[in-house]
Amino acid sequence: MLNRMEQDVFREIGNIGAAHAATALSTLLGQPVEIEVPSADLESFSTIIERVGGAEAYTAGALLRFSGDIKACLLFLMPLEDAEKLVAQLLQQPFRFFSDQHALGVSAWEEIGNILIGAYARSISDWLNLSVHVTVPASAFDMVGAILEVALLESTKFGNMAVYIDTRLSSSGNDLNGHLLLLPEEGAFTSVFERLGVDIDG
Amino acid sequence: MDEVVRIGIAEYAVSQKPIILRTAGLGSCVGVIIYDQERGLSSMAHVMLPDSAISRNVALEIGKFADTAVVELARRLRHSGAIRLRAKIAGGAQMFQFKYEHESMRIGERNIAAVKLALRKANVPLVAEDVGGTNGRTIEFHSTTGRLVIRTVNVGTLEI
Repeated sequence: MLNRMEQDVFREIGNIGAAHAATALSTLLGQPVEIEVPSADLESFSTIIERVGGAEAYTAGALLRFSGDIKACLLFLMPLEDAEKLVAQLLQQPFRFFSDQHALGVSAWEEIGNILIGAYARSISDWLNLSVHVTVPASAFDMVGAILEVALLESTKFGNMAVYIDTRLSSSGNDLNGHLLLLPEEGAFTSVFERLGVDIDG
Repeated sequence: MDEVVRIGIAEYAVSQKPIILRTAGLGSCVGVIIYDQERGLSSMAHVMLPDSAISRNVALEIGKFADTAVVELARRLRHSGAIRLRAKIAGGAQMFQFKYEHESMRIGERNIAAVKLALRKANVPLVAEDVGGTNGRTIEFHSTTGRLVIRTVNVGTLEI
């Protein structure tokens, strides 16, 4: 478990980051995008995987890393069909992954990840006056358990558990749902807690 | 139909009765099955990382690392009377094609190598494998037949 203060800070990060990502997505879609109150906690690997649909859910994932003052792994996840709808809308043509249009769709999907997570990073670095860099996106289209593993690798402090901040995004106009998941590397938020004057042992 | 036991990420299970051992969504992780079919003993681990040296509490993370998981499965099976242990493995994919260098980039390959080394050290012959590639796998081991069924969402089903 995280203490109340840590949870509040992480939820606020999820709120601010996801709100800006949602605005960016909404601009891309030309439709409103809603976000839910973020969840932030220390949970078992299994629970985190359940939250995003269960290990075998067929999912499109875009992964970027934050470096600089905050080190974390960021994932934008969508059920594969929803990601296809989103990409189709941007390309303004019907689209399926693993068709002859695959490479084009992957580029579009990675650009979406880049825009959303870039917005997330900028809003957090502005809020906290920290320097946050974002790596180029990588993508995978597979079972969500297999996609998520790579983000859980760095969590060794608490046994088979990880700290995560999860915000659900949805666009009812397009019937699209997604998750923005932030998994901090160990000690990654020390500078954040210092800046906010939070005593992490308190 | 035998009972199905689900093994989560970084977990393991050992069974002394006819059973189906299942783990879902292996990416860079490796599913390790060690069994003695004649004596009806079987086990599976969902290994995440090669080496337990980085762990601060190995007792909580036995199934997570190649070295500790293999030793523990073999030890417990032998303790239950196993004589002729065999192993099958699946997983170790590279899920993301990174455009930049990062340690986790080749974690699948490193997991495969570490599991094979640990099996050699534990004197457990590896009789079948489906490793590497870029696809996630869900695996199901049927202890009565010794068959390992490997399912992917992108390239179909395979049996080893």
